[in-house]
Amino acid sequence: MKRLVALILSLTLIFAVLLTGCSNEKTPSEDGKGTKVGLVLAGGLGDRSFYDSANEGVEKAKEELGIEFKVYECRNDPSLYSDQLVQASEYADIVAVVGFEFFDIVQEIAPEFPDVYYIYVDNAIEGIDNLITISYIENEGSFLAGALAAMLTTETSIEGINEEKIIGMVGGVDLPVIRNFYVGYEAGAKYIDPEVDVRVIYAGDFEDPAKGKEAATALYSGGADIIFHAAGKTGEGVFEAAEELGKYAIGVDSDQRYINPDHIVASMIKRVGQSIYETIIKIQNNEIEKGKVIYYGLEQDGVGLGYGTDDMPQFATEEMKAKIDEIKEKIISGEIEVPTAK
Amino acid sequence: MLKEIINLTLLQHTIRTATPLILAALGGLLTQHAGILNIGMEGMILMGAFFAIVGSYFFSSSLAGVLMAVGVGILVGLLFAYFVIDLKSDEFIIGIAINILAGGLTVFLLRSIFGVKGAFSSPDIVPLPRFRLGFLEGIPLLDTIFNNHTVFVYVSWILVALVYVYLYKTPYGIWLRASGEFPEALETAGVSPRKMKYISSIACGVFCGFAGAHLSLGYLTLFTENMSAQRGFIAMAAIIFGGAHPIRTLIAAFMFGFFDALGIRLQVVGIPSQFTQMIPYLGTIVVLFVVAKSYIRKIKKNVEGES
Repeated sequence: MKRLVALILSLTLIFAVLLTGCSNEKTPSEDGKGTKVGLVLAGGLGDRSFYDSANEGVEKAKEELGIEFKVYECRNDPSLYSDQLVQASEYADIVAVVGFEFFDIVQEIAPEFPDVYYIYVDNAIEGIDNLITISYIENEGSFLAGALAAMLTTETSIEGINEEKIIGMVGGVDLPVIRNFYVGYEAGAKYIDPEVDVRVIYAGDFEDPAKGKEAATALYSGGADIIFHAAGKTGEGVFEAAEELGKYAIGVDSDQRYINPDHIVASMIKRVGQSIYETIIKIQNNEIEKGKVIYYGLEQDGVGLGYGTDDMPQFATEEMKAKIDEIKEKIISGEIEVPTAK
Repeated sequence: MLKEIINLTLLQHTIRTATPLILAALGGLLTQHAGILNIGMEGMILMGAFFAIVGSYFFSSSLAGVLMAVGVGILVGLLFAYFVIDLKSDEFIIGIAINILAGGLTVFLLRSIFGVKGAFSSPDIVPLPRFRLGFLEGIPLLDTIFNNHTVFVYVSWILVALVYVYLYKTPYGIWLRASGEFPEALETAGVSPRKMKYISSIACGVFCGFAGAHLSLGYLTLFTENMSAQRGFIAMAAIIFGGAHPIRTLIAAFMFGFFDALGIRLQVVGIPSQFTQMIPYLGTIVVLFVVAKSYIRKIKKNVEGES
């Protein structure tokens, strides 16, 4: 009896191996339909900002270009990075890799799959033929956020805003990307009014909303009335603190106003999804320059400020929005130079 | 500049941060006394946090949320006890299994119940009420520090006293400690060590349920994946630090809370975050050093006194 069971089990195993061998065949069709896209995320879906935005991009590509896609989440577990990336590479024709964490691994794996195109988001690597990197100039978007915060911090007509010229920022972890948000934010605020005091706290975690709330509470109780967050799920705690203390926050990556329109005045949007979508089109049309970095700043509409939808109360007046647009034009024309930390 | 760091909000922050640690640590120290090292607290807190949200959202009552968290805490405590005590599995592995189970299960249920990924917040979640002690209102200093916290902050302090009395002033407490230290003696006395171990494990589940409910309904009003953020392990550290004594563990939890609050505030005045994030750990090492030093001195004194 035992022997029979063992026999059946091993036969099943052999067939399973054979069958998986078959399924690996890739048949990219001519018209671009049926192109398979693998989306590999360092974190997970549901952050209501960065990774969700990437997902929207491939969703859009599915609807409009008829691609197929699978999402590979690593849930911030470094031991999964390389496995998930290999899995995706075996499945897909185009692999979109999202997260600076993949910096080493993607350079290792991309040359092993020369038939696969890699779109690597949030970093800049040159010289690997099938690797296209998308780098966001987030300091330009943050510059606008800082300018808006500096304009709002003296608008005492809005309930909860004090006279002190103090604004805050909560960062996830002190990384070059997050620091890039900060230097832009600070420069934007100082551009409007050099006297504005910009304070920053790094929570040391992208997934601890309780810590985000404490960090924000510390900033608010020190006199800040608007806090910009670049902290993933930790930022959810910033929104809670804003609501509880009657203060204001600026969201990040996606347009986060819908989470709490009464206390989130705007969001610094990083159009991760849009840039992935556009790059997929470029690959399909063979318009891509091999091994290059594509920069998405204000000029390419890759970053910007979002004010939510029209049914939400607007804290930024038309005047302020006009001023923001004016600054945006000046950044694009090169009249204002935004500092960077990358 | 110093005023930015050392002010009343620092103490408020300490109290708020310490509360989930105290609640979980109280549960953990009971199993510790019963001779079980429970590293599954992290997962128990996370489950508590999730089911508190479920209860509060669907029954529109924060009490239902707490009851739900406690109910799940009892179930997980039973599961843990069954494996560790009756099946004699390794407590370390079961603890890790519970942590992994909690991490996966809450993500899965978040998607299947609420249809969202990552984070869930809604105006329909009823938070725990805040509490004001009337007699403190006349004293401005104590009023700002101690008043207007959520209800579990006060509950945690009462529970510390209750656990202390239970462990050291009642026969049941002696049984519980005996079940860990010398189960044969307890058996000879006609009390089942198995029963006491079960009780400790279930109580741990309940306390961790409180900690989770406090996190998602008191401290915050939302659930995010992995929101327990290692608090179960820090509670474990507080237990070891306090020698599983309720009051010393309370002090240890406050200490962790204080260093955390201090770390965040030092950043406001421009001290780099890499340094401030070191403070809780650096502080712990220093305090541990001082405590160990005085402990050794005490032992030496006793030895000299005897000879």
